[in-house]
Amino acid sequence: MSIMILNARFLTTLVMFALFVAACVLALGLPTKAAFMPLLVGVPGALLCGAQLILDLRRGPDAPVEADEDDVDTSAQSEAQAFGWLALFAVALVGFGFVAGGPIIVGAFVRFSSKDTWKNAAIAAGGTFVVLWGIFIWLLELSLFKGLIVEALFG
Amino acid sequence: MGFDAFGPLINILTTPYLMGLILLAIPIGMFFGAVPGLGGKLGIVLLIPFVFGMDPLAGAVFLLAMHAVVHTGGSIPSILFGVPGTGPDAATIVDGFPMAQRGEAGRALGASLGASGIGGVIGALFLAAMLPVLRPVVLAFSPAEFFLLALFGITFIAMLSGRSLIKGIAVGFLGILVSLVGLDPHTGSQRYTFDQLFLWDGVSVVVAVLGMFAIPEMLALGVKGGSISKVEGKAARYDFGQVMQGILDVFRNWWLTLRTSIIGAAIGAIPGLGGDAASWLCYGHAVQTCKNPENFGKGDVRGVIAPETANNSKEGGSLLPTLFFGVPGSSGMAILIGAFVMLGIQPGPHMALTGMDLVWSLIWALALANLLSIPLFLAMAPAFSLLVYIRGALLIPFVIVLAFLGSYLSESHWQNMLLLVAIGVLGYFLKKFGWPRPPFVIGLVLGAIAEDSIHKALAIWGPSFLLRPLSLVFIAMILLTIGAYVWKQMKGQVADVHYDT
Repeated sequence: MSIMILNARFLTTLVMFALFVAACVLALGLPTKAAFMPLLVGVPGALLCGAQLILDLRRGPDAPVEADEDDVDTSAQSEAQAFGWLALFAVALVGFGFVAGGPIIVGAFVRFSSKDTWKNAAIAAGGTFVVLWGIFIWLLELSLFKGLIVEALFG
Repeated sequence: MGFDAFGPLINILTTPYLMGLILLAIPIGMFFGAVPGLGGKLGIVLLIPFVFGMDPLAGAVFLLAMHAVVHTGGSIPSILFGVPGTGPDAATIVDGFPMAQRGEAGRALGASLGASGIGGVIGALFLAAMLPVLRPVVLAFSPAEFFLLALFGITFIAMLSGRSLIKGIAVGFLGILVSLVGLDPHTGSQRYTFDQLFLWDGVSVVVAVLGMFAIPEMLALGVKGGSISKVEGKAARYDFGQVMQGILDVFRNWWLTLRTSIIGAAIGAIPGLGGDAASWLCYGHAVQTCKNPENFGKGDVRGVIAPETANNSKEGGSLLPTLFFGVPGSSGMAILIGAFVMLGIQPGPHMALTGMDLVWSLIWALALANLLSIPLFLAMAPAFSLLVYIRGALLIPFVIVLAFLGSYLSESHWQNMLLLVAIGVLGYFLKKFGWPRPPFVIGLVLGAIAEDSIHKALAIWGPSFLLRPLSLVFIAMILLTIGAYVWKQMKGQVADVHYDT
């Protein structure tokens, strides 16, 4: 587990390093004035992340995780589930929009992730619909995203 | 303080819409404070979709009033259950919970309520009193100073926000980089847009804030499992007479109340110190300066008054750098800046010239919210004490849907929802491995100001802008900040201050 945490920590630093390096490389193709600030920030940013990479490598696998919060569970399975649900939320909301996709995904989450009853899942879905439609569409008169799939099917 | 100051107050008092929004914001803010694990930051983030399309003044007043009373509600679980609603409320437990255990829960709640209300009003007055001093200072700043101020803000907040200065500054620089996405204002060339039209105007601050804070918190809660609140057992009982006695205790200890309110507001004005520092420093001040210090920790009402005044008064202080320099006084203020930008309010030095009406409106909103929170709290405290049992599992899906909604509504681009997911996943790992996230938001907000300032400074003075007297002061402050961090680390004393509020 600790090796996995070390790897994930190292990968996080590596991603940060890569972001800065990529920003610098892309900035080289810009006009001088437009590239000035990205390079001014990107180069020291890359150097800082490079230094952090060295620090991470020098740390042993048993080094404590400097977590921002006290008790972030590092279980790979529960992490994968959480990211899976986030992806499902994105698919539901981008695909079917807020009014249709929102209640469905909230109800599904309450039923299958929280393992609550069908009744509570239906109440949660209904509550979501009431908030989304009632407050945002009816009361605030906002136009909510209808979803790419819904738009493709019904125009 | 002439009509310029009181005009906005009259406007708020005579506009039912604005008063209604303040009255609505108070119970919402108390809710976010009373439920352990939520807090004011998440409160602002989740209310962003609701203020979309509102008049800038109304939206800003609503969000600020909500944020102002979070700690008033946060004292409820601290006193009744011994579980802090938010980080800075932890100091209240030291004496508040022992009071509840010996049957004085109502007195502790009353003292907390009175102290929060008065502290908040004094914090607003502190802000008002500082305006005449601050205005000429802000107007004396040139582009050179603003560029260095942006760098100083990121360095200072990075140092205070976590255990690694390297990580803090790197995240702050990443925020600046993200702020550079879009059409370059000087050449018109596309920068990091990858031919995506929705990125031409840059990355929405709202999307970045939601991605960095709301999504990682919910992912972490989902990974951790269980409920958001770890509260078990029943709340301590109390009666109304005890509550009134506690409120009177605040007036009996008026000198302590005044001192800790001013100290709290002053701490709030220093970017990065935040609420934890304010409440604990004021608690320590009370222990050091009051008679019978041996009573503290055993249920002394003064141990409730000191941190609670500081918790609310710091909000007034932290508005100073937030509004006039665009440097957020706390991470809550960093998110508030994001919401302000979405509402069309751009904090910065121009506020001293053209935005004073808004500034005064916010000061009065802060004071009114704190005052009005007292009767509302008295009426709703029993109901709030039940909120701590709310189940996190039911909260996660609603928060995520609202985060997606906020990111979509910010610019009406569906692609922003995908950007939200990407930033959210990055934010989760930053959170998990101790990369402080507040500097990202601060870098994002200050990035455009920093770029504009450095181009102007170079055009006017060339590289010698770094040798201007005030520039040298800022350079010295940046070096001192880094030096202080290195010195503390060498001595193994790096402050474990969480940039939480």
